[in-house]
Amino acid sequence: MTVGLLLLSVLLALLAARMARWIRIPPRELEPFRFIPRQVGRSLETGQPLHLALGSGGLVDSEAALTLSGGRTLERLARDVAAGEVPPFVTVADPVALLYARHVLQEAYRRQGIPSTVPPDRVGWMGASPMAYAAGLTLFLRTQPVAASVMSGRFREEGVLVGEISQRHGVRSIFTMPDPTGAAVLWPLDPALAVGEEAFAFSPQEEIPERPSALLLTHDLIRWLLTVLLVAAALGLALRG
Amino acid sequence: MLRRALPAGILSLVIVLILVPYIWPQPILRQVLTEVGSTLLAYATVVGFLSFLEAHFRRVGARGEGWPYSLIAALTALAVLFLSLLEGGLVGPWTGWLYRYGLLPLEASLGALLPFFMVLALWRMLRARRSVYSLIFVAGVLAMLIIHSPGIPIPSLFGSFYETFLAPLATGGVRGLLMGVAVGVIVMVVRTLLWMDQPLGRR
Repeated sequence: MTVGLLLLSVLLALLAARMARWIRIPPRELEPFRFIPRQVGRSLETGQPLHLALGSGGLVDSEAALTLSGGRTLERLARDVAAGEVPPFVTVADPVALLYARHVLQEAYRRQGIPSTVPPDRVGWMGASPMAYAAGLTLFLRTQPVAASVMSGRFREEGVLVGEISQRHGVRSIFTMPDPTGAAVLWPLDPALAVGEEAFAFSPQEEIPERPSALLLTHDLIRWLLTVLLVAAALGLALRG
Repeated sequence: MLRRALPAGILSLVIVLILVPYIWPQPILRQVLTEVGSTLLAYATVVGFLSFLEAHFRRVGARGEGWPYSLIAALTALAVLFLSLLEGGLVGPWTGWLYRYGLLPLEASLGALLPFFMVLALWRMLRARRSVYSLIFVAGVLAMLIIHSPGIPIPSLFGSFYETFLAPLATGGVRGLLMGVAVGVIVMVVRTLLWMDQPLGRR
């Protein structure tokens, strides 16, 4: 079953990478990801850094994928803001995620031909547990002016604490929440947040307007396939009695 | 070329190694991977701790905004470190006491505040925009408050309604979202495996 699913995924990924060149339909709109480039521009214009919270997840545990969903956003942010002289703030709750975030930032600057290292306070370890992390973030958002705050990664109910504080201080917040609990508590703060699978749909590469990315196409293909299989299985069971 | 290919190749190899125990159960391989992960985490924690101290002491030195908080955070971290070293680990009586009567009550207090933050968020939402969805959300928050209120008979009356009508909808919705997350994870793993994405930032 697992082997079959993996093979199917590989095939669909290759197919989507190929099809994306030929299909001419506009990619689906994901509000939070549409706002991120705008906030990057705002950060470069005002000179205020962006803030990215990678969540309370790590990179060695079973929920590493949730942290890496935020890692995609980090890669794109790091690359886009490296052109200016305002490195973003990245906050994490896991030491391996800290090293990862520092590496991604330094790599983005190295590619721009800027040899200087990223200041140590730009990537911060805010707390080792989810609640301590949320408490650290509230203090950070109170003392550090930022152009916008992106929360992307593993957040659960403690996310409402951070979201509420950032809104209270007038910080423009963008949420991409793979975890349903985090999405549920942050929904009143921003109903257009990216939920579940959508949080994985941010491409770290440049997208061409009016052309769907291979990433989104793969997501959609697998999603529709899964839906059809589930409906077929449910119908089959219902008809069998 | 090698500079790009080597990290991506190692990453693909690690992904394959991690997937192997799911397809072909090998307890030894799983144990080795767990030990490698734990060792990596231990070293990363040391580096992370030093980085934490450096960042906070730098802010204190520069008298940046919020420097007193940084000073307290750095000194507390150092005090706990020395205490742990003196007691030979994190299970000593003093570190245990700090954890039980310091850290846990603080986290519990913060956790107890979350429903109030939820209600505050709800109030702000109702001021900014009212829709059908916001009504559903209001019902959700009210249900949470009612179900978790002690000493009133409403939860027992509400219980059957919740189990009959709301639980299937909520469970179905959450399962759908989790399946979507699984799709996202599979796509991400496959793209990394095929070098379409390189999460180490080299491209």
